[in-house]
Amino acid sequence: MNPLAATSQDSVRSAVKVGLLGGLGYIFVSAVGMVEGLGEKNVIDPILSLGYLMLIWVGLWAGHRAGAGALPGDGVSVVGRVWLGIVAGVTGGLLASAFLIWINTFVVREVFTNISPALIELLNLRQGLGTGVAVAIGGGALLGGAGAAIGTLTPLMRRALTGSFLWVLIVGFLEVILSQIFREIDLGVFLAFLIVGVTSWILLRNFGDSQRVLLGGLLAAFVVGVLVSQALSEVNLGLRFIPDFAYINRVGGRALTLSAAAIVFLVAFAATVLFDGRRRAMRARLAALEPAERQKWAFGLVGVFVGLGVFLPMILGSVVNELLSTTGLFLLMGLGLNIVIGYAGLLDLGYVAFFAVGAYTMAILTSTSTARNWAPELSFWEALPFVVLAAVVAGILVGTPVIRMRGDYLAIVTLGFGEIARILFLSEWFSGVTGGALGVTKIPPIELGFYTVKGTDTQAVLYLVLAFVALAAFVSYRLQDSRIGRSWMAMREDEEVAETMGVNIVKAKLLAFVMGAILAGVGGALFAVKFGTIFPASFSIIVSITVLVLIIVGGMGNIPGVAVGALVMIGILGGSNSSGLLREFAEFKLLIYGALMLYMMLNRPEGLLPSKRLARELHQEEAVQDAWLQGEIEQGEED
Amino acid sequence: MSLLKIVRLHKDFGGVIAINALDFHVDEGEIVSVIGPNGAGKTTVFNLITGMQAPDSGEILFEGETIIGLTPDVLTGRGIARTFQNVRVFANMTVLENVMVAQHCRTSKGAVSAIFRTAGFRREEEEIRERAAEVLSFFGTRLVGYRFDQPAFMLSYANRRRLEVARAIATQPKVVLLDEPTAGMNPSETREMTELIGRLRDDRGITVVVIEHEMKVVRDVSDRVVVLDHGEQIAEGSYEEVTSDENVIEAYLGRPARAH
Ligand SMILES: Nc1ncnc2c1ncn2[C@@H]1O[C@H](COP(=O)(O)OP(=O)(O)O)[C@@H](O)[C@H]1O
Ligand SMILES: [Mg+2]
Repeated sequence: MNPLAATSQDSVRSAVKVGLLGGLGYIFVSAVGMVEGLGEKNVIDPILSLGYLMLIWVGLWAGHRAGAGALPGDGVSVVGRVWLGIVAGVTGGLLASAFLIWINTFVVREVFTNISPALIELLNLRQGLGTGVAVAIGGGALLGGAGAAIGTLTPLMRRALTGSFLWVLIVGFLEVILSQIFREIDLGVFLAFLIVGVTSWILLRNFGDSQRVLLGGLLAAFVVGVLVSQALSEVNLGLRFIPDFAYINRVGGRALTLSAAAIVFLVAFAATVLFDGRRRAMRARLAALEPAERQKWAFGLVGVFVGLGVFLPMILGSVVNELLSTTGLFLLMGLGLNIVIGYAGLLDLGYVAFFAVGAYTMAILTSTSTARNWAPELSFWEALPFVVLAAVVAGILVGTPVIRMRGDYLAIVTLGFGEIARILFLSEWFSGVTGGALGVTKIPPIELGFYTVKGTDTQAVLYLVLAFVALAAFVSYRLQDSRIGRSWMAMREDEEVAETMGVNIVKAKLLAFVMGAILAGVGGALFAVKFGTIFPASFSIIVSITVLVLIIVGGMGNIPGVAVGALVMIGILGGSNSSGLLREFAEFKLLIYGALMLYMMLNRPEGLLPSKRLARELHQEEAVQDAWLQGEIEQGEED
Repeated sequence: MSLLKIVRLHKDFGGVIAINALDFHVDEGEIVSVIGPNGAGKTTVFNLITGMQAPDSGEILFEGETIIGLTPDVLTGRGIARTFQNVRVFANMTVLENVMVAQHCRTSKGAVSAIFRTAGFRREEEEIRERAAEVLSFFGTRLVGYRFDQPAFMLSYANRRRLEVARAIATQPKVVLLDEPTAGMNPSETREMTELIGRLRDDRGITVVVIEHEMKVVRDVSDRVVVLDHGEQIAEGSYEEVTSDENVIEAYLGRPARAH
């Protein structure tokens, strides 16, 4: 009997369609060079390279979509769904095979530069065209069926399965960080975490109502923690056998061993299944917390982050510290742009101008290079007020002409301002001061009195950046929840009405621009010190776009959201001129930015970690429905 | 001396004459209704008074001084508040925040005191919150309690209209301009709003100018009625005088009748 007989023609047709899409996906990731470019990098040694992972993912996706495409009312059985997945997989495999035959027969490299002999080898599994075709079709069928089968599992099993696989990938990708932590962790840092953690737990439990006791206790714990960590920093905990067991050296970088992958998978799977009930209970309890209680725990959470910020840089090693300082610099800018766009609703696309102004002010005032005409050679701290001043002036200069502009016009004009700033710094006119295309060199390190923060001292730079980020986050929070913050919010909602309600639009807009400019300016100043040299080329439009994308991806208007955005965009994917944790993806960064933006706009426009307000705004219907279900809304007026 | 005085006001929109040589005045403590067929220029008068649009010629005097050229926020500071015909609450702000932000020009604490949470700042925030709660209690139980923290888009249509009125009151105005406050309301809600308009003046001493289509409301609240047609004042006087005026009857009957 034909198992597809039970399914409607529509679902078969849509399975074929999805399969063709999957086939196109296969061709696409191959032709843009991902399969080959990422082929070297093994995720799980020796069975899974990143390149193949891309192809496998395409197959699973197609099967899943095809299986889910059958409507519940169709009466399609589990077997029917799996068959739909297989249909999609085979269809995709056929399309992929056509592609394989084509590239095996003709040399298309002159047009499609990425379709190289090496790629063909990879796709053929080094066994010739026949194998390639067989694997494409057979593998397609297998993956399609598997994808569809996953879709028919209970939600818990599905989550456990995909989640555990995700954990394997994460542990694989975080190799740099995890190895480093396990190798470096010493008794001092371990005890420090313990001391701070236990103290804060006790404090929150028993003295949660007294802010003074909380703060004092935490501060004391931190001081003790730092002392302990310094005193015992030589005693290694001897955990290096863990990364030695889990990872193995390969050409494309270190990869997870098969046994380690299996362990991670099993542990994650078991944890998901076993703790499912507890997780739900926690969620429910969190949702039911009183505002005062909630504030207490929010306080605890801030404590956790401060703890991580203080102790982690000690053991993360220079590569990760460097990565995090770059992330921090972008986060600083993100927080600034979040005020301008997220709070005040002013779409500023020339934000890099303020970053450049801050960097150049710091560079020009402190540089000890003799190449330029004017060099006052101030110290970092003497120059910092001028950086702020310059940022304020720049904010007003950009803000004033665009006061009455809205939306698209504002975006275009500010975009222009960003370019103007870069070109001015590049131009010959001011090259006596700005160094023209050569930029400014010899920017000195920061003197703290007891310590000198050199740009190459990644740990110290990270501490400095984190300190400024904390300050910026603090300022943002306080502004948001104030008369000024409310006026920005109103302006973002409806400028005309805000004005009629008494908000001075000119003042409010300029203040938003100025606050944003200050944060970006300080970020620029730190950037200058960190690298010791700045060039106009570092301040191109791509910086503005990166910062914008990171706050959109993270969650506009929400400070933790901006932090998540910075971590994902800069820390993991890599910023405009730095590579992130996934350096393998560096070549495809812009492609991934684009794909990520598309995905976010379609599926999660409020960002990964949105503010409650924005989430509500973008899902008004759902919010209204929820409230109605809870009996908090009237359908028509009662009388 | 009139609180608000309009002298030979003129406004056209690229050929469409919206307001033509309009004269009228509002005395302190009065409730004045402005009526007229659709497109008569009523909303435009409000836009001109609140500074949202600039007149082509003529004069607007508030407390004896010209207010032409002043921006809407300055006029709000002087004591002119309004609501909008097409409800324009800040939909994504909570009910309380809507009313809090309306006190912007009555408060003063800036960015620096907000960052340092000075004693003065905290006191002012507390006052803003209390006043907002007090203003919202003006509508009985309609907008209080759990509604404080509900985003405005969750409110029913009638409650949004009430919130607009609350927001206008929160600016602590001398005169409030209500643009069709009962539009879209059912009879009982309309009655409630009618009574509320009376209380605006009686309890709070606010002068009221109200654009209204519902003749029952006009009859019940107005001390005086001004009738506009084609941007001109065609009649003025008590409800009875105006409704028996030949010009008015012609203006309303001379074109297809409509509800709002
Ligand atoms: N912003 C505008 N641009 C062009 N025409 C306008 C504008 N505002 C109002 N009008 C025109 O002015 C006239 C009066 O409008 P309005 O004051 O809204 O009337 P009412 O409120 O009495 O119904 C109408 O003919 C309308 O089309
Ligand atoms: Mg109107």
